[in-house]
Amino acid sequence: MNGQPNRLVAWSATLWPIVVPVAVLAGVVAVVSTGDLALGSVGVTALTNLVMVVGLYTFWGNSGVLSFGHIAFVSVGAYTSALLTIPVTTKAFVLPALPDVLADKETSFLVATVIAAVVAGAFAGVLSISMMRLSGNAAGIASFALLIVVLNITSQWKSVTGGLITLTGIPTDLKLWAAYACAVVVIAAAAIYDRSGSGRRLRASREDYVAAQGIGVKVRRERRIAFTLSGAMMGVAGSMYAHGIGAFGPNDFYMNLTFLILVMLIIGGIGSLLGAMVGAVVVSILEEVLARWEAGQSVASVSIPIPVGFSDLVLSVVLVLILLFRPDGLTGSRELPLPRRKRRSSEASETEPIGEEVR
Amino acid sequence: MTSLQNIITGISVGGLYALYALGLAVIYGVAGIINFAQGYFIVVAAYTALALDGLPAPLAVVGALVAGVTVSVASERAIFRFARGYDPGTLLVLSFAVALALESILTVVFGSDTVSTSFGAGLAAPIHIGSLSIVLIDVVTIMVAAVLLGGLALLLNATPVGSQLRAAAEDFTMARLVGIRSDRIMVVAFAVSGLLAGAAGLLFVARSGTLTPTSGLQPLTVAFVAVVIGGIGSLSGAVLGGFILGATTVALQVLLPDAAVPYRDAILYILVIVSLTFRPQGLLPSTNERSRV
Repeated sequence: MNGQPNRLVAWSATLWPIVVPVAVLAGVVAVVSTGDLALGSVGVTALTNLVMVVGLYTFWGNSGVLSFGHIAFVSVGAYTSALLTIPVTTKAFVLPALPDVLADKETSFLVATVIAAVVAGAFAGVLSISMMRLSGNAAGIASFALLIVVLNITSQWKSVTGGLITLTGIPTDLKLWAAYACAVVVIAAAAIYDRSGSGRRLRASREDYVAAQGIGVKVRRERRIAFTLSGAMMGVAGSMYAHGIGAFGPNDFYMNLTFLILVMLIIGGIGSLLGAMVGAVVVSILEEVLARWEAGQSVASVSIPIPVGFSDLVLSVVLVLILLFRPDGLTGSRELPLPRRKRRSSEASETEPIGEEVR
Repeated sequence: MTSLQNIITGISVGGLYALYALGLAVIYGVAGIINFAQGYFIVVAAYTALALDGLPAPLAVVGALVAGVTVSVASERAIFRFARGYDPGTLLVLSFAVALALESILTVVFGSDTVSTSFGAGLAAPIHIGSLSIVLIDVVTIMVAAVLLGGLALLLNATPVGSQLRAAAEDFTMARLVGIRSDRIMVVAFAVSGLLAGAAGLLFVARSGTLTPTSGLQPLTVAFVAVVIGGIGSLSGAVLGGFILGATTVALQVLLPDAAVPYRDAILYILVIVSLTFRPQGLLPSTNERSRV
């Protein structure tokens, strides 16, 4: 059999939907990097949000189970990373009551991010044991409860988190291309999970729970795996958030961010990794343009004066329109198809059509 | 006598929570939407009461109730009507978008700062019965909750509209087939829910005295949790869930050692997750929510 060319086509079918968007993203980042300093920090924030959207997609998109609680893992990641990287001398000021174990530790961004991912992932893994027993609305509410629990603890545990006061002194050492590298690592992880046996079994259960169980898919187990992995991705995003801005408080990781990430995922298309990426980029650009108009600045020499708070209104109207007229998002919840002339009928199944009722 | 006082506070908070939850449950029952916007219907009503503060109190009360009903019915006519028959996840996210829109409209109109009001400040006075001292607002809350719950029970069980509502909640398609006009019944459901939101908004602002566009979040969270604990789709379950949540909140506040009081909400919501883990269908599950294969 002519196995060699077949495998080549199969591989390109696997890589194509990821490599192309990542390359396009690199182009966008390159354009952003030529801009001023302010634009650079907007780019870092956008890439951080992109990581969150990809993290949320990895669980919600693959499993079809609602989650309003993922921002809790971002919070855990951000605090973990901050506590590991605030210089020891600064720590004595901002967190005087910090236990000694943490007070004398100081690591680099990279180490802190890995630890943040592990801590957030472990937290998600432990929670998943009870939470993945739920599905549908009960799962949505339980994840919402989780968000409230984490907010309550981070805002009251003063000796470790500094309480409601904004935590400062985190080195702002996350530059644009480093943020891009983080995003690529997380996107690659999400793509590998998508293609793994576990990812496929989980999507099967999303399409038809009963049928998937009938052919032996252990749905709860696959959901726990995805939940843990996406928790770790949110942890990475938390570390990026901390080092991109350098200061944050417990309330940063609550409804506003939850809204934003959700809007990005839905506008792009919940059911595909491409949708997650497209949504994050499109909404980030829209948000930045609106924010500049709100502040009275001009974008590409167009300036429309709009009142404060108006940008959220625009976002919510866009969200309503998308949901009513294009519920599968801009991408239709599909991955990037191969260019037409490359595709042959025998390999068409490799592009893996995604069901219509993906939410 | 403090224990009796605490019980009264518990009933009052529970009654308020039951109103929050019932507003959510009525819309869910008929339209199948877990309505995130419910919390913001409450805030719109509260802001209306605040804007009408100079007028005589009854007028402000009526204004707030009208505002609650109007915004609720308008959201159905303008948005939810077009999404009838969508799957529950999409509807949930759609209501999320409506909530976000309402919040941003309030921000544009009233600004994002916290505003304080004297509306209902007179109700903060305690009244004394023997050695018992009860805050007036607690009594008012219990009375309003009793009247509205009783009225709703009457509406549902003793009027033609009520039986149509219950029929639509039971099986919407079937109800249409036997001649219930779906548009009308949908508007009735949203109006009832808006009225509950109006009353809840008045009690909310009279209790707290402050308001921001994001105030809708707390009632919303409470309503969600109460509805899910009670058993989604069941009206009596929503009321029960509201009372349980209110009583538990007060009990934790009273019984927890001082060091743990700041973590009251964390403990409360951990209890919620635990309760859901063992009874995901709720305490009084509605019969048509059971999954069938």
